[in-house]
Amino acid sequence: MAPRQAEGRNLNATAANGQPNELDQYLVAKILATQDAAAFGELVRRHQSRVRVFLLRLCRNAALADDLAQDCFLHAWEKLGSYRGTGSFAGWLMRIAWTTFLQSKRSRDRYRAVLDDVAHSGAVPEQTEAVDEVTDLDRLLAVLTRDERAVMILSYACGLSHSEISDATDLPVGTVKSIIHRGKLRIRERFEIKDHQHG
Amino acid sequence: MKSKIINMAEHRMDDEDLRLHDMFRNDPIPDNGFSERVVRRVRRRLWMRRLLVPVATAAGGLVAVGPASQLLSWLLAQLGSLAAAPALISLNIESLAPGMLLLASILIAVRLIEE
Repeated sequence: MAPRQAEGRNLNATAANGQPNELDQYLVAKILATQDAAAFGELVRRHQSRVRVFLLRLCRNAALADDLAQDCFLHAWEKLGSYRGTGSFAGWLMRIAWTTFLQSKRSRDRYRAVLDDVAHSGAVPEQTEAVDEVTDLDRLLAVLTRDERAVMILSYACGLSHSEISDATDLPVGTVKSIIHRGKLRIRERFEIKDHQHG
Repeated sequence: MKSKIINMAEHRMDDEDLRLHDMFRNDPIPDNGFSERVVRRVRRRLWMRRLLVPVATAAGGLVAVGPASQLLSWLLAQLGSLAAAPALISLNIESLAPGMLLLASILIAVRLIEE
């Protein structure tokens, strides 16, 4: 992280009294200028709930979600210099959370594939990942694809705007809107089927 | 003005949106020392980085001091012979190459550590 990248950013303390994103930008500028870990702690406090909810909904395991959230904030600390201040800080941060989740999932999938190979050879018993209690919402999200799930969670659980979701997932705003529309349709279809089945 | 209209359209919710919002609604997760843990890890990283650069420089310096002094003495000898007889200069690539490689690897290592 290069402190000089903070040059040109508004370090005016009055920003701290403005909009949430202005406060975020003020804190980012302060951290970049002074490597202030306490200011970063304030940023973490402001966004930890949203990031943890997002990761918890994605991986359905509280311990894993917390580990990933910590990794996400550490990546954010390392990459803070790349935040240009053009979009919202929440969108930028959720993009890191999403990338962290995808990387972790990829490595867990590889690990599971190795375990499966070993299990098929009869060397060790099969291991399953600990998952927290399955809720109605989890069942509902299960009918969606991974990307749809992320977009729906960012929209409905994290309260991000379409443009913030676009920043977070690197998808065009139009695609985000169509994913939300499609996700709603799929959920509706599923619920209607379920309601019908249960009379 | 345009963005205001877009935002209004974005926030206009139908029954299904409200139902989904209800389903997704969750209480904020309490911090419970989470941010402290993150800040502690960040501080540890800062300290590691502050220590790593001088330690790596010292270790690299210890390794490089022998070859570097040989390279320097060779360069001085070449300069001496250049001054004595310019026509007799012959670049000994075989002895120059390891020194240049060492120098390049030190520069790359310093760059990597800085990043």
